[in-house]
Amino acid sequence: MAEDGKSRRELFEEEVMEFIDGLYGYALHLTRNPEDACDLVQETYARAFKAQEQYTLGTNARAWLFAILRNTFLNQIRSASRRPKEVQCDWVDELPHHGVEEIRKFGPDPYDQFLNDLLREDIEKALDELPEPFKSAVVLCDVEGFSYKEISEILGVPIGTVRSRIHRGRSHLRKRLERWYEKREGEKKA
Amino acid sequence: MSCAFVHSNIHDFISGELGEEDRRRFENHLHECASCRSCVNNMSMLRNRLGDLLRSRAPGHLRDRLVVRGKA
Repeated sequence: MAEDGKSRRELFEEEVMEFIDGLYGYALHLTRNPEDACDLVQETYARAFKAQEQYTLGTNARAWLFAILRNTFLNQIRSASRRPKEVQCDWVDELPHHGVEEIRKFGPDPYDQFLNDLLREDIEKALDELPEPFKSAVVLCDVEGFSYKEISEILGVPIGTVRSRIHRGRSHLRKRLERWYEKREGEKKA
Repeated sequence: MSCAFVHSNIHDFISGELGEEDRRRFENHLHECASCRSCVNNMSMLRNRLGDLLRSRAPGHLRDRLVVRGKA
């Protein structure tokens, strides 16, 4: 028995169940399907419960679970003989890194209106256009609030790669959303 | 201090990943430069909006299934 009369297993369960919403959200981005996302989260927890002895209570359960979820997803893709996008091409070089001038002429005006008009489906559509490594880096950083170091552990890549993926992923997303917004505003005026 | 410093570090600043000294340099420049301030505000607001719109809640049936399984 550990503190408060709770068993280690109960404490472990309490700790890991806290992150179910974030895990489900990330699973949804990876699978793009609520049913598959539920299965992926369920499989993640099954693996976590099985491997709970490897986990030290009170350390970073959240990053540990996200790493399990991601690995489970990659294994599922491999076993289904579908290769993940990240091994298909070297997108790191292909996605442009926007320069100073690009950032200077930043976005539609007024910006508040643009942000208010954005819908979840717009962002999801723009995210889906991003190759998987970029999408994961942006979602883990901007939606889940992980640090670059934690993301590098979850994705199993160096911090410099995480940084580059976030920079390029966000820039691409912003550009894509603004282009969509300007087009829609143009259509409204026409 | 130039605008170029801000533009090459804007994402790290927004992610809260700039070291203390760089963050101070960055913020000092923002106080002086309206153009950079606007860039950073816009990018930061977009990031917040992404977070607000994309956060999900796990369905109740999934939660129930996991609790039952965890206790089994």
